[in-house]
Amino acid sequence: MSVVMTTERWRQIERLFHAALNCDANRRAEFLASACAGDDELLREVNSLLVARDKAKGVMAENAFQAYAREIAADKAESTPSEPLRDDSQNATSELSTEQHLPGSIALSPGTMLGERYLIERKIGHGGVGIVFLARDNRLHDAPVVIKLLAEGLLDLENRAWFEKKFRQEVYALARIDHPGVVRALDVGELPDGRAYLVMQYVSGMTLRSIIQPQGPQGMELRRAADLLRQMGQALTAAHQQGVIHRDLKPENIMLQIAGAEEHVRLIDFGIATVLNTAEAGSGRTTQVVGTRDYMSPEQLQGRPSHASDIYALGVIAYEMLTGRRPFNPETTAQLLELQRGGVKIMPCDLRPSLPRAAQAVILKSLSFAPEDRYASAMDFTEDLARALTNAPNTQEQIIERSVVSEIPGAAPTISVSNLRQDRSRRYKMALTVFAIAAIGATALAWQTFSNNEDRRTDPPRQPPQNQVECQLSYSLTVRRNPKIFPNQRSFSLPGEMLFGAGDRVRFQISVTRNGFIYIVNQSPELRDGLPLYNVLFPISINNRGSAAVPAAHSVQIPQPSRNPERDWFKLDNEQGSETVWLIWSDAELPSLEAVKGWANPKHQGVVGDADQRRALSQFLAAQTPSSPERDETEGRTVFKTSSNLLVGRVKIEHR
Amino acid sequence: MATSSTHEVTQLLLAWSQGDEAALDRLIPLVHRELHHLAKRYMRRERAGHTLQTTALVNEAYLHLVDCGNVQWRNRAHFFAVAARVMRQILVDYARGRRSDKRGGQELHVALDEAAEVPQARSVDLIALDDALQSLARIDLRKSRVVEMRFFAGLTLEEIAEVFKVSSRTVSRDWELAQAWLYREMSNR
Repeated sequence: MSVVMTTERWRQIERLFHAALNCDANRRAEFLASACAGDDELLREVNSLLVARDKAKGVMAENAFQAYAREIAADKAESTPSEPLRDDSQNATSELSTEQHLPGSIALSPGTMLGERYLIERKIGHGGVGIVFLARDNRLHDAPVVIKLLAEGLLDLENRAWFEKKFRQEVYALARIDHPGVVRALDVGELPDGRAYLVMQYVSGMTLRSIIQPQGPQGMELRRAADLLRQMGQALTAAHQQGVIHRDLKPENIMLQIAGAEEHVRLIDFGIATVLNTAEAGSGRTTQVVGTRDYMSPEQLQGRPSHASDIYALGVIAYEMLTGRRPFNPETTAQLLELQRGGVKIMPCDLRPSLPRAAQAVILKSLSFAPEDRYASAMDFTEDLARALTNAPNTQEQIIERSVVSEIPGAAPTISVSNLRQDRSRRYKMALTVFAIAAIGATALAWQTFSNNEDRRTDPPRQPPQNQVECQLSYSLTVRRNPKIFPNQRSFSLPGEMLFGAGDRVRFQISVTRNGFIYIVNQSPELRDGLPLYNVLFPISINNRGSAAVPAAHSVQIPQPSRNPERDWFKLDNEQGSETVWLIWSDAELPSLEAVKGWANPKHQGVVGDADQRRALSQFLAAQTPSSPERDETEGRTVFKTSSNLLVGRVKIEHR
Repeated sequence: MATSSTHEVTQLLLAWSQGDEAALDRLIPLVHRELHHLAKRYMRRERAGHTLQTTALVNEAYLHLVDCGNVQWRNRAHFFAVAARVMRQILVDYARGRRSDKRGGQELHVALDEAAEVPQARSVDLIALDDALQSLARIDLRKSRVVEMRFFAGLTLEEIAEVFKVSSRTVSRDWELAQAWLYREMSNR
């Protein structure tokens, strides 16, 4: 009886669910209210399914086998690491390639193999007409690459062939640019549906955006700005000489890579920008301009971009690097055009009085309304600007600025409820068992033993500490007690020690006072094959774009902040024991740790599976343990200090 | 022997498609053996960096197991329907085994599930999905089978439509509602 009722009810729900989906989104609520005619339970049922439908989107996009095979493979890799790879299915590969099963347009998803070479890992960008994926190149030891292609939607456009042609032209032009400051095009391929795709070098590092102080009291140190701008100008000119215009130059598309004391600029997101803009224009939506308007020249806003438009964009970027704000901050495109026509009203020197007048004049010239009034080449512009910035008679300012920069004690902790912490720690007499030891290393002996079957690079011998600038690495621990046990307690920051319980959550906020590389590794108390288990916490591919490079005074949070605050914590489980979190800073990239960080991808869940790597890591860390760097607690943070070029800090987390 | 088992599977498939439900019980272990073997082999390919396509796997099993000259297209769809059920068994069993391994001490002390991009990679908890599918089967058997075929065996809407002899639009609607229902069910657990 009840089964019959359920079936009827179910059919009713089903009908309404589909009817509501067919209904215009604005009228859906109205429609359902009248269709349910006071049956609140029915209304609730249908509504909750509609909500679930939106959330469920994509959850089952990848089929079960694909999703699980990765985990299974990861398990296998750990349990039988030395088993020689036997691929007895090689003969079947060609007849069972992906292409055969994907007629018409192809939806690329994680696990798809392109050209028998590139394994799609995940989508990293998506625009109206273009899609960008992160992939692994299996011919080059799974090196990360970026793959770009036109979106499927374009397949329907009548002028698709034309777009494809433009895209290819652009790709070939890009491939001709041979400059260290421009991201390299590596390969071009074609999907079975005829779409061309472009394989680009994956550039790790940080974006220029991350070091521009938004609305800051003062902009970037002059010498640094001069150096970076000069490199940008050279790279851009190299592109212009091949006839490639960037068209979407902005701080987000300029990557910085640190090599020792130097910073290298690399321009990314080249080339495809042209096609995208063209495609957008061709699709009839002429009023809409792709990308951010903030860096666009007046002529580009009007649909006539040229290489002078890139110079204009570079002018906006220079203005912003030096003052912390952009020359114009309009709300609409029309307003922006009007402001551009009126010229710069707020002078860079108004915002930063110590800025050389000559530099201001150079920037203003690059921001001329008429393209012909700007510099003839990007390099001319940045060379002039760099000279004006560094030949400034006002060297006093530079000295002051430098000392300011090196004294920045690190970003403030996100949440600091220190009174609460103290109260609680007295009341509950919490055992103070989190302690921190850190080790200064002039030693890298252990690193030499690091060997990886695929990657035999070894770390360079470390210089003995000389008269180096002191580096401080500081961290604060934010704690949220298990909300089931302490429902009303807010999170608090913790410089010192606490005994954690199951369900407690923690996160770290870390910063350093010198440019360099940070690696964070968790060591769990349990052993596998007699060696500790390590888990790579930083960098991971979604945090800092997978790069360990972190500039001075830049704050790193782990776990990476996400849209869901509930997920921004490490949760402690029921297992008792002590975890160790290693905080490693170095002034140069540590190749061996770079090798380990590859384990931080989803298929490994951060766990370093290779026994040789774990052995080497364990030896290295053991070697650092006896020597401790200076340690201090101030303003809710724990600070490690070293004058060496390597610092290894240790944080213990005891949990019962 | 390969030929006799090919013949056997083909006969069972024909019998089942003509309404002999008992044939299915004898069919499943045969398909299971083949798929399990193939799945293991495919995993090695995954390690070698090859792509993984469930449809490819099921196709390969079909080519191995079924005497294609004697089978019509419709029976191919039937084979896929069986394969879907078997794949579900294999993968859910695997997920269970994996979970109990972890309870046996392999779980990290700090459950760093928030750290890496794990949620993206492990998009669906297969064990929870299996339970939810059983509940769905009690309300709407066809929808649960549609999910089984699409999610566990990678069948296209058209292939599924062929099995149920309905339009692919109907299958598409089934798939849409089933996903929403399952998602809600799993998040309410």
